[in-house]
Amino acid sequence: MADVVFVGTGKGAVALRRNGRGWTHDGLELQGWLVTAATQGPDGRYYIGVTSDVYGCTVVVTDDFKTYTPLENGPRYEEGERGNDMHNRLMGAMDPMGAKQATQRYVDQIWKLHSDSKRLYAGVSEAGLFVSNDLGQSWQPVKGLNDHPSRDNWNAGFGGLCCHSILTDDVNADRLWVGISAAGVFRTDDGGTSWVSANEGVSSDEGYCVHGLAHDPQNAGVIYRQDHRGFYRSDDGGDHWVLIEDGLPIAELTDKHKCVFGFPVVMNVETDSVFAIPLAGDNFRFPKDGELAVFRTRNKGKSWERLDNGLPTEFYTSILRGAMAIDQGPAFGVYFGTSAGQVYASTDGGDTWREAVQGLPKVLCVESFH
Amino acid sequence: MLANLTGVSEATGEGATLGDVLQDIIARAPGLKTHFFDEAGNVRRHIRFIKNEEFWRTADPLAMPLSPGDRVTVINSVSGG
Repeated sequence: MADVVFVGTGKGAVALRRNGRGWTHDGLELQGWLVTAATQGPDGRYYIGVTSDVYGCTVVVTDDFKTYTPLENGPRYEEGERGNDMHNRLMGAMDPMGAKQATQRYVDQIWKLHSDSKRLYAGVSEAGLFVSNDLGQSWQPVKGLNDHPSRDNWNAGFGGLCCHSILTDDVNADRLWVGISAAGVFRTDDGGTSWVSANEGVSSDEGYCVHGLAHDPQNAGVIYRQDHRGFYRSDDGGDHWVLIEDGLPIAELTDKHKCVFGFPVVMNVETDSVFAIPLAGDNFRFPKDGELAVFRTRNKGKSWERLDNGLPTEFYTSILRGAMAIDQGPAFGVYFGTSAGQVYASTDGGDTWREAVQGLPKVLCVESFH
Repeated sequence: MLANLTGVSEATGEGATLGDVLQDIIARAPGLKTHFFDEAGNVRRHIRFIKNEEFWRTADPLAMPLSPGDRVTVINSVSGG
């Protein structure tokens, strides 16, 4: 069970700790900064991605969630690298001062920090992957992905063109996957030199709009995928995908396509349990009929259970892609934050839920640390 | 806000212009570079500088002339409504 549930928001972060049956925190840290990603590094320290429209983005490190030290270097594109026009237009539209209206490729947000036993990875927008072999002291662009031949055809999602999901393989260190909105899943089998599109079987509109990925790193080729256009599983490392939506609420998208729509997906590997929070389509982005529910499968998606014990029934906001976390181990907790600043926690594998905290800014990321 | 992150609210540097002074400070605190300059090498466009009590509104703030004892305040460009 988690010692700390770290919650990154649009204006800072809190570290939740259990206090009897409830949860407590020491106040909002990193005030004013978007806190967008967190991971525990190979050294056991905690690495946090922070962003500001004014001061750019970087990675800070902490041992105790009280004192945060910025690293000297964050992931950063090189001067002169050409940016994606659609991404820059989207960022410019959200930035009336015009700071991002340019042709340069910028790192404007760290969407995902991930760690394996040796390295740190950062998935960023404008979409790209960076790796650090020295605990964040320096970051190298993964050029095989960042300069992929298909890049000119990558479409930006509603949140921009972002690399938001990173999966690594504990058995084969040369194999990893990323999820990019809205370009899809890419896999490398040679340590990042070359990447293939891994989206066969997934419904596509204007690009493959993957929203979230989860797997067991020890059995890495079985991957669960919450997509804009459905919920999928692959048994062959992403070469083929099949819908696993029996028992999940089906939404109607703006283009009338019917599928499961949502963002986060998390997995407890010991119990082979996968969790999702479907929403009522891309035009509403809150739970169907305002009834908040988490869904769990324990048989690889053959069937799903609705879990709503303790969750509200008048709930009209969303849960973003990074805002859900899960513990590992046979007895585990599940946690998610909302765009209205609540965090809900289950300490019994999703069977029952309690509101852990409310009144936070929009929750952008949740991670559980042991 | 930057001080929230860095833990430093004041720094001293040497140079005849703001650009020189920032480079001097960044040489000793390299982590500040990403917060003052974007990937194109430009000063981030939402940052504003006040020299002593005077708002500095030129297109190239790095050319701001400085003399010993001058104090430059770094602020966010803020609007409201």
